[in-house]
Amino acid sequence: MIKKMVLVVFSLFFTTTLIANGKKNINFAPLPTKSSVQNTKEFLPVNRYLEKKLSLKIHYIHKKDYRDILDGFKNGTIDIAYLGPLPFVSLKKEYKYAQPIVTFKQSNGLAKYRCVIAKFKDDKFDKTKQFKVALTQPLSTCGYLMTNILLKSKFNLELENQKYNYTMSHTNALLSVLKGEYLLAGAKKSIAKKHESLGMEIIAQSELLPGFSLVVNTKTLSKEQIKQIQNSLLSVSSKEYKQWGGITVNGLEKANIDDYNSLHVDFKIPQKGNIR
Amino acid sequence: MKKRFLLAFFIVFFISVIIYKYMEVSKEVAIENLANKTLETVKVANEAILDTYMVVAQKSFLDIMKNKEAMKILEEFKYASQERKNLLRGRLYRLLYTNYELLQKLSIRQLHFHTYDGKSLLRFDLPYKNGDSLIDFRTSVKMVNTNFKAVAGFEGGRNYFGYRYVFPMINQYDNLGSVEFSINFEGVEKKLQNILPFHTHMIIFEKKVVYKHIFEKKKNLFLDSSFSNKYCVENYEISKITKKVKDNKFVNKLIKLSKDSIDFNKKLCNKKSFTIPIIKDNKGYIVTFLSIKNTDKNEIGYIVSFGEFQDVVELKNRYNNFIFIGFLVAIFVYILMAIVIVQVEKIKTESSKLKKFIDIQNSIVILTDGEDFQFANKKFFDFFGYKDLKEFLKDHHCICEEFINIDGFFSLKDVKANEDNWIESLLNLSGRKRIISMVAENSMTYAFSVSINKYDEKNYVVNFTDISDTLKEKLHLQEQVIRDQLTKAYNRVYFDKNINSLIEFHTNNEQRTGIIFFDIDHFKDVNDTYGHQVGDNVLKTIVNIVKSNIRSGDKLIRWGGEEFIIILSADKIDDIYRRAEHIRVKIEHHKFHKIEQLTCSFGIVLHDSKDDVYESIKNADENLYKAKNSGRNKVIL
Repeated sequence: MIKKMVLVVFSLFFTTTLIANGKKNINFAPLPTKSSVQNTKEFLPVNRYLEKKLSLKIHYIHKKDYRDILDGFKNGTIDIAYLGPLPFVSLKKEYKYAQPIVTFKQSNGLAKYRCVIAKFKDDKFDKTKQFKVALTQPLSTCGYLMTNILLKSKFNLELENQKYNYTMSHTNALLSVLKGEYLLAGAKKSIAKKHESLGMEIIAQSELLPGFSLVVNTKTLSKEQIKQIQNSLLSVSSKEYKQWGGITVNGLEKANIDDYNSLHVDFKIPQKGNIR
Repeated sequence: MKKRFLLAFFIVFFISVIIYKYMEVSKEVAIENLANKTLETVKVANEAILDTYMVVAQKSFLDIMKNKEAMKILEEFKYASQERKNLLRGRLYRLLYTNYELLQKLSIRQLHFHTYDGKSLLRFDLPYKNGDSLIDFRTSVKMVNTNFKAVAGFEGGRNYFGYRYVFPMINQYDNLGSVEFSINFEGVEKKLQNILPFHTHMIIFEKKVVYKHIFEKKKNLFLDSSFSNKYCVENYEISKITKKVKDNKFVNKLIKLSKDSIDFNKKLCNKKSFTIPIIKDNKGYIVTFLSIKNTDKNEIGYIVSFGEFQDVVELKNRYNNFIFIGFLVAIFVYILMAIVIVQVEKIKTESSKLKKFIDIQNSIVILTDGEDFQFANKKFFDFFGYKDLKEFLKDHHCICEEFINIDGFFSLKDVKANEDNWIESLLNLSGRKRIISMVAENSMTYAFSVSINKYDEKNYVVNFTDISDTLKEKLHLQEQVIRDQLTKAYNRVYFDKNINSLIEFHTNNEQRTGIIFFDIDHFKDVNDTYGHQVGDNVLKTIVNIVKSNIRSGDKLIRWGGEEFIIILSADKIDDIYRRAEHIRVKIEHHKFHKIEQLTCSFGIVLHDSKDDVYESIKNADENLYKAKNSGRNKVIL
């Protein structure tokens, strides 16, 4: 009996040590909706901080869309990803080892956000006619999902009856409206607000949704290492985050898995637009 | 000789080192010049690219200025409310974004409108980012909106560095602001790559310049340059070029070699364009640093180009060959010098022997052309008491100045008008007459026989042989022949030899010759009474008395026994008589040893030059006879 106990204690100690050592090379997938240059710029301070504090080496894995990130999680080539709520919910549906650890705050200090439908002030929104809608990406929360919900709830219109296409980013969606290529754009409110200085106006907005989070792959990272990463990120003061700039400029908070409950609905999102 | 060989070696070595150093410096200069051509090529290419962009920017600017709708938006914008400005900004974007997309294809990254007061009106690369003031850190914007003139140049910003072309937008005297076209280095690099395909290009910025204006949070977008921590590059994760260069082994190798080169940091910090030619493993490379100036005219970084540079190897080899040839020449020169030293040493030994030979000569030997000295032997200096020729020449011009003017000796007065110099004059004399006299340092006078031999075209070897002793001996013998050994008065030999010349001398002086013939009275009794010794003494005394009472030109001759003749110059017989009488009285009154008193009898004549002198002598003798017969101690004429 004593022998068995010693063996268990030893095994536990050995395992803990191994876990504590953790993975040294972390593959990080930033948002696919932004350019790799932009992503690198925005995540550079926080990643450097983690690299230094936890003696890690963080490698950027730039994926073209959310589908690639989900695949990366599944095949173990991505350890951490920066994901919006819908991609996370989609990932969680297919891959139970995804877990949000911190949620990023927005400029208003909240970790939650809204999706909006925006248009250029000069353009007329005639609901009786078919119009073109610019979307971000299939798995973007503010993309097909929330745009469809908002059109239905605010204007009693079905997105499926309109022409739509994916422009791969919120900014692209908004700019394509600005260029006159589309009438409406579905985007994150904070981004749409920035484009108000270009004559864009928000014509519909959603309820608060959980914000973007860092989602870890619990299959490739140990609990201990996940905890270390989470604690390290939460230990930084908001003042320091502000100084760093980039993605953490507004600070972050611990992620709450329950915030995603409202998004666990049945939905079928077309992977491609209906404009050829 | 060893010393000379050593000296020659050091001279050749020293000159070789100087030549080597010169060649090394020349090589460095030639390499630098060659490298500067590459730098010039990069510079010209860069300028051409920037000029091309300038043309594109100007064309685009004019297109905007001609776009009435755009100008209308901008005009309205200046005075519109904030809300209206937002709408107008959107309209401007919608109106011109196609232009921007076209410009992007031409590698122009930014189309940026500024307000008249230097705020961002619309950035086409980041349209929602607007309204921020640029005036404090964008010199070009400030200059354009102050001077209303276009500005072009490299300039930093809050995010990036790039080449900016900023134009003022003046519409009917109303400043609507400015428009900027900017390109990042990636655009330039792409075109540089096309023009110089064998080079890799990157850009480095001076860190303190970058950090001066850039947003604090953007500083991490820059990394220390591999060249120096005073310079930085855009983070390789956000710059394609930096990333490309980072993984380029060739570039990394050249960066390392550049840093190892002499004065690299000094050149880098100097901020002026420079080159680093590199030769490694017989392969040539070049790294050029083209200085970039911003719109403030300050150097802020470099366009760095890496390439192969085989020409430098050829140039280096060429110079190395020159140096090797120079080395061979130095050896050859040293051998030549060694040969010359040996030969000179031989000649010197020969000369030394010759000099020694000449020096040990008892004669004075000189080498002269009659005016200037070339050489003089030791005897010369010993004789005159000079250390060397230089010292002698301080006091004299020619040895001939020392020739004493004495009868029978050659001196400068004997040089005739038609003769060039004393040498020629002496040569014209017979050997026997080439006798000169000089005073030595000890104030003694010496006689020399001069022999002259031609040395070369101009010079003669003149040998002065001391014949003083020989001459004295000769004179002594001559004296012995013409003088009476007892009384030292002249004898008959002298008379016979010189009487004619004496008479001629008197005649030449317009005088006649007088003859006084006298003998000692009762001299036989003196000899008989007092002995021959006393008799001889009497003769000597008589001669001395007479010599003391005749003139220097008068000649006393012992004619024989106790008979004497005096040859003298005279105008008339009375003069002769008076002189004879005077002598007679002197003798009469002289107190002779032992015999007390003696007298002499005198017969005198005045010789006529037409007559035979011996006849005149006979006449004088007859007159003497008469004096003897008439009581002695008398003068009969």
